[in-house]
Amino acid sequence: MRTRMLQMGRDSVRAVGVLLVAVLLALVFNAVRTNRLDLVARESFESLIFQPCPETEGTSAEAVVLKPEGGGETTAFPEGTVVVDARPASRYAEGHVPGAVNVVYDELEGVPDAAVEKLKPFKAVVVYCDGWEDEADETARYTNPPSSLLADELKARGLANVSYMEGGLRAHVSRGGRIEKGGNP
Amino acid sequence: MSRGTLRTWVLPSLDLLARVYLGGVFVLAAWGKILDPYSFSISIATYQMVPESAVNLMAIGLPWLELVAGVALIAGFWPRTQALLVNAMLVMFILAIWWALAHDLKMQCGCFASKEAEADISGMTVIRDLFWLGLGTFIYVADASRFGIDGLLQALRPKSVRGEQGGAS
Repeated sequence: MRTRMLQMGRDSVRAVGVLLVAVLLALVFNAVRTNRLDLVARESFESLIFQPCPETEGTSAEAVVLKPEGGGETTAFPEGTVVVDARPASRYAEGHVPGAVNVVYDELEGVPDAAVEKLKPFKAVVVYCDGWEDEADETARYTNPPSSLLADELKARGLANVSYMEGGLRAHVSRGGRIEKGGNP
Repeated sequence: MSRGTLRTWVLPSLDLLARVYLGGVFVLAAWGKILDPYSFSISIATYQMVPESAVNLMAIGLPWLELVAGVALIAGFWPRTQALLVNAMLVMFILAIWWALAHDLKMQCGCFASKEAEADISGMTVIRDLFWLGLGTFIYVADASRFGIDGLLQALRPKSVRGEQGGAS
């Protein structure tokens, strides 16, 4: 028993030694390489890992496409419809569908109760995000959860008539839809 | 099969197979990450389990730990120690994947650099890592690294010294 304990203790000490050697090698190699990483990232990873956007097929929410003739404005929808921009606030401020409200969607955190309550009085909810630049880009699909997830969650939270815009803001712009700048009303 | 044959040949042979396989997996996993640390940093960040300030440090250091442990495991240098490190990493990976699955994250595990080698994480990813964890545990518990640097050093030692050290690797 004592021998085993001693052996485990020795292994643990050696493991710390190997760890230190590996860290030292890593730091030296990183310092001399051309495509080195900063030891602490200067920019947030948020824009790389969380863009609650693009659209996908196979959702329980019904896809709604903004009509080109409606200029992509919320007036193109039946009365009582609210358009939800699910992107980060900074992206929303840079430009959004006129009249849209910003409900930032984090699929890990879910939708805040207050946001759900705010949307409840409306007869219908249409969600949109950025839309993928390249539909064939698998990486974008992995790093950008689809806005249909938000549509699904809103439905599950008791909202009726929840849809998402196919192609997102990108498709809206490509159809000649107008963009409005500024923060959440 | 006699106990002696089992101890002298069978266990060390199985140990060698397990070490080469598991070490190879870790070397392969480390290689792509060392070549492209930026992509690996995004993979780590995607799990959202590590503070952003620590993501790059982990992206720089972890692949080298995988490489060093993998190479040493294959070479049979302190194999129990390497198995301990490999298992510690595997436990960390399993917890991370389990956490991501629990949160319904649709992502690749970031275990290997090649996109072709990676499907979305799933229960199978956890089972695969558990299998590797089992191999690591076997290497640690069997302590039968006759074939490798430790075994060679052991064989070169004078018999009297070997006797005093009880043949420990």
